[in-house]
Amino acid sequence: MTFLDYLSQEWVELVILGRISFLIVLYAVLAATAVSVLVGIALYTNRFTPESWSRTARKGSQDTLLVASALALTVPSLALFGLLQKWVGLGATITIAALVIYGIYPILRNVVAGLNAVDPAVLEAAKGVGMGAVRRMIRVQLPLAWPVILSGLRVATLILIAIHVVGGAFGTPGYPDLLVDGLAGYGTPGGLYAVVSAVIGCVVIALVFELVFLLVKRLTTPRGIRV
Amino acid sequence: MSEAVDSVSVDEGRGGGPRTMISLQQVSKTYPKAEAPAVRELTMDVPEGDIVMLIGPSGCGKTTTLKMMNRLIEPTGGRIVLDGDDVTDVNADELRRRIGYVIQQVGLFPHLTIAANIAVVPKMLGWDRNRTAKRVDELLHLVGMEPGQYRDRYPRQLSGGQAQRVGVARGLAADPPLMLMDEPFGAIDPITRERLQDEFAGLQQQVRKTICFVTHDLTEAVKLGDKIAVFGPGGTLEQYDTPDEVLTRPANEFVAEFVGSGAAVRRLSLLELARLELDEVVISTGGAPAGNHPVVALDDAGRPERWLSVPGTDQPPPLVTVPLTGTVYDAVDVMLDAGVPLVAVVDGDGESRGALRWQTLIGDLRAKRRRP
Amino acid sequence: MTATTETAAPAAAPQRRAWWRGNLDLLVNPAVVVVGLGLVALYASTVDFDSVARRALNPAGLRRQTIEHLVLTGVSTLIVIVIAVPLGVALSRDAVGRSRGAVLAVGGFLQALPPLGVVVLIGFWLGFEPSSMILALVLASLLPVLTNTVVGLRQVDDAMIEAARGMGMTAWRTLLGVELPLAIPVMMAGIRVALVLNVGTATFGAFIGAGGLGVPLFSMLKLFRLDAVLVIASLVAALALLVDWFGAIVERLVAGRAS
Repeated sequence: MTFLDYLSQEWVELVILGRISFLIVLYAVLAATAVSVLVGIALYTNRFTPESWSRTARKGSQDTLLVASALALTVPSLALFGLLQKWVGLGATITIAALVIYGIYPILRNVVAGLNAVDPAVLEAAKGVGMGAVRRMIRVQLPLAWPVILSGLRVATLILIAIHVVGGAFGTPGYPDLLVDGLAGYGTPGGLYAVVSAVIGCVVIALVFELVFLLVKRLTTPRGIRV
Repeated sequence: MSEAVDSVSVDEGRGGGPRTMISLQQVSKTYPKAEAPAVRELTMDVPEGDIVMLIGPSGCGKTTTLKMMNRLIEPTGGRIVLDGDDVTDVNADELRRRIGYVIQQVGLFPHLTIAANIAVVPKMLGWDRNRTAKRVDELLHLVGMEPGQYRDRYPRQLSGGQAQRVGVARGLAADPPLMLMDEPFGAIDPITRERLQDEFAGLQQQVRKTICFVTHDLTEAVKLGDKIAVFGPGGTLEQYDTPDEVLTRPANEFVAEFVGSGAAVRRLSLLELARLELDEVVISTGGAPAGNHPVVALDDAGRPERWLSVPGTDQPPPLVTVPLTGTVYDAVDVMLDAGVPLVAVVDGDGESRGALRWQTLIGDLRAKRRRP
Repeated sequence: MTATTETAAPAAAPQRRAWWRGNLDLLVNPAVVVVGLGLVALYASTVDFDSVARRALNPAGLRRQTIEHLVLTGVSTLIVIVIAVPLGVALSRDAVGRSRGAVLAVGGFLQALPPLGVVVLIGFWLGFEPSSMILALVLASLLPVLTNTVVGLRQVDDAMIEAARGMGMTAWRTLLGVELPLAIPVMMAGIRVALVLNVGTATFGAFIGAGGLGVPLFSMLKLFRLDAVLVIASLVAALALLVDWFGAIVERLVAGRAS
């Protein structure tokens, strides 16, 4: 059996598995985005530290919190999954949970960077015309930071796609399961083909996400700041 | 604003005077950790309908003062009273919606169209769509931009000068009684700047706002200001008076030095002949004239032809003219060039409108009120 | 990773105080490592490890595996830098034109390749040995470094380059003296992220006989000794942090000399 035979035989199955993988990554990205935007705004406006602290202390604590969220990236994926199973069990849940943990830093970093990059003159003007803090954030700062946040989302998505297959060892359906099955049956051609399909499948999912992002970018970037 | 008050009187005296729009009373600002205050016990009243230019060297507190008026910076002492209300008693955001604000960097929102930028404050104030749209078009017209052409553009498609026009329109959007402008034309090339200043002066004739305007450019201050507030180092108000007074009678050495040694000459180029009380000229009707006034003979077209007599001279000097649209500087230039002690000032048709004499120039030059 | 994030990195050091005050932030990283490892050690001291776990956690073995781990990451990183930086410089030249975008876009997608699958495929293709693992690590981190090199160089203000050329600097000298120093923050961001991810990915080396800390990690995982997993995982994480710290110091030194 050649790889092409394998593909034509398993085609429907591969598409179904791909859809599962896509959804797992999508949910994780959405959750990580929600968390990152909220935490990012809090970090940016420095809500975590009392105002009486000195500027350097507040800036330092902001950096430290950002570094802390980067810690997740240093934990080897299999170990994180392994430790998580104690709390969230197996299946799709464990993968989504792990991916959220991995996804926060790349997105958070861009949320903070995007907000920091907003032109101070625009902020002063927004204050000067009498916009309150919440309105300023929603109407001015977030829309202007959005392209940067979106690029963080894209990077995070690619990383998460690459990592999500590790969930196969913990009963996560989709390409993770396919990959681990293939590894188990590695001696057989079917095993090899399964691994190759899972790997290529990840790139295909990345492609689909890329298209989604292209669409989202077109639809959500205000025309005035499109490059 | 009462028309009556404004149109009366050629003199400086203003009877009861107009209302005070914004009043600073002993206002101080000391930044945290700074030893000296940035603004020190400043007291200043800005009359309704006037442009007050805040000027001074860098770090003198002029921008701090401006920003305290809309509480972008909170004063650490004293009171600021806007139209009868203490500004610290009201919600800062609502206060700012009542005050127009224009800054040097313009700060247009890049993700909003020109129309949406101008409509920001009206929208926050809950104006309905129609009223807002009408106001936007009206303002675009006012600042000399064709609404149909610019309404739906984005800020990055504008030149610097156009962007600042929109900035001014945005500041005016909700028709605030008070405008604060922080070096609005500071970052614009000299030629465009001059045009914007002229347009702005014209605009002010129509809208008659009370304006506080920070600048570091003395020429701009003299050109646009009804009053000039000169700030000194350490955030003190050194002099607060009309441009003319500041130039001719600096209150102290600091102001004198700030205004510069060329102040007297600078002033000449700012004095438009049309705004001066010119020396009277008697037009010769053939008979022997008299008094203290120069007598001029006209040609067939009714234009001045030659001096018949000029007081203080035996032999009338040759006649030279300057247009009414010129400045005193032009007049002096002509006088020096021709070596004559006076020039005839003529209007667009070439008819005599008076004369400017050297003696008057160095003696008692009286400017009319700036606004016609 | 993308360049957009590295906007304000070194700009925040206006005054020239004592050098250690300016570099105080470099202490955060080792402090986190020390505190983190301390906490893990504290926790481990309360756990009664059984003989299986104890065998995996013996100091001599861990030391050897740590060194193997460092060699895997270090060698692969060196190879990546040697390949990706010159390639990135070449790709960043104006003459490359439109194909640059295509190369970077394809490079982007390849980041989605799951290291787990790639490692095993390469292992079966080239044999179960450390060199296969190094190749896998090179493939995994080549693209982020390449992308950041190109992006970092492309974002250098054209006016600076023009000024350099205008002063009579050669193209070569402009590259070394102006472009690369100005691109360092963005480039190093990419290299550091690649390094950190590589330290984690190197644990997969256990699957193809390449050694490293992955070996005890996965045996403990398989035997469900989660406390031992935690200890080894925190060792790997600490290693990643220290490697990142090393990257930060190199960046500071290079950038410091450039400015």
